[in-house]
Amino acid sequence: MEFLLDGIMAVTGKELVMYLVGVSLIWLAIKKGYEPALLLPMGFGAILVNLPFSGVLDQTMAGIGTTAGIIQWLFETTIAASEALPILLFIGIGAMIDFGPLLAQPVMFLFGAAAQFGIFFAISLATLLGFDLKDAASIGIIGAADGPTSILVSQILRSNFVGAIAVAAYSYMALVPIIQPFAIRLVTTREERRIPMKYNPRNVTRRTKILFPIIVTFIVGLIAPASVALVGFLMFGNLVRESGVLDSLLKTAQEDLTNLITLLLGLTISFSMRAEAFVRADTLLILLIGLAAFVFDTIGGVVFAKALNLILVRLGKPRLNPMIGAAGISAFPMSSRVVQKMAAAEERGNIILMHAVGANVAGQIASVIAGGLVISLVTQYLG
Amino acid sequence: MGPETWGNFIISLKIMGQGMEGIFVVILLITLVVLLLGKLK
Repeated sequence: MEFLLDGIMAVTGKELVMYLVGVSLIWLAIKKGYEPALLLPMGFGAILVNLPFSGVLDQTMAGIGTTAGIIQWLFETTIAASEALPILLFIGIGAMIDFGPLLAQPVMFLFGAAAQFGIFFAISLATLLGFDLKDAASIGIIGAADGPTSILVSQILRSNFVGAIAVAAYSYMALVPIIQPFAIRLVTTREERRIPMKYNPRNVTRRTKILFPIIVTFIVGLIAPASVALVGFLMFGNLVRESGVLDSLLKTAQEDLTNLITLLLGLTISFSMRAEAFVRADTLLILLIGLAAFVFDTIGGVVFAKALNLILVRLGKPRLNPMIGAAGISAFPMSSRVVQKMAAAEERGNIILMHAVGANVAGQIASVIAGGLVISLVTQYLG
Repeated sequence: MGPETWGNFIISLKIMGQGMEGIFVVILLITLVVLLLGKLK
């Protein structure tokens, strides 16, 4: 009978911590509704990979040799060897995004760029706290507010903290409604938050919507080639959407492909949540730096909008509500909803939703460009 | 703070400058092209 107790006797303290982490993620997903599609599989996966002698990991058995574990195989094949899962997910994301609100007011692109500031602030903070450059860059990319980009960049840079980075990225995306209002209030006055904005969209033709993903792919591909895998697949998905001739493929990309990859991505990434890699002081530091990245993304976008207002006032033009700068992060549509909710709370009937949506969609493009640039720059300095 | 940490911090500041510059350049180019597309009949 003793062999039946082998597993129970082999449980370590760190593994017990991981069971708590796993149950907490499942609780956050079910009870709080925080990114359930990712946090629930990750939470369950965290339990699976931390059971002693777990069959989801490769094991060496006496008299047999090595047996393959499904989660380890999935991770090594679809993330470590090819980054296939996060990249393929971008086809589905592209197929779901309507760039119309952004194309109708192209100036909103700028907020997408400004709100990536938190990535670079977090990279600097991480280096100051002693992380080496590739780990600091991987941690900083939590500020992209984009789970697949965070996983991809940290994996390409061979970070030792992929699991903690994925948990932080998805957790903070879910916490945008709490983090962003706090950060916005830090750098705006009530009077600024009440500024109304007129919505005068340009007419966006079908031709523009079709040409847009092709042109973006060329521009980004030629200037920041490391971003091509991300931007290219995002834009491919969008071209499928806008082409109007691939209804069946579009439906598959939006629903089946996205759901299938999401289902597997959470479980697969849990391979990096093994106790020996996850239960360490660095994980807490990474969660704190990730929080700072989201806060400084928001501050970067808002301060940029305030700077633009200085110019607009000099030109005698109406000011922008600086909160739309905060919507320049990639967390869509939470961020634009948060900004609209705050605007309406400060001034009843103040509607800045379409501006915020434009900035928010711009953030989705800017975040993947930022991911590619971080890879290019870091590898350049490491070389 | 050790010399390696300090060195990494200096590099991270350079990455911050070059990274934000790069994002704005790419985004400005895309914005200009989108504006031009809007002008085409």
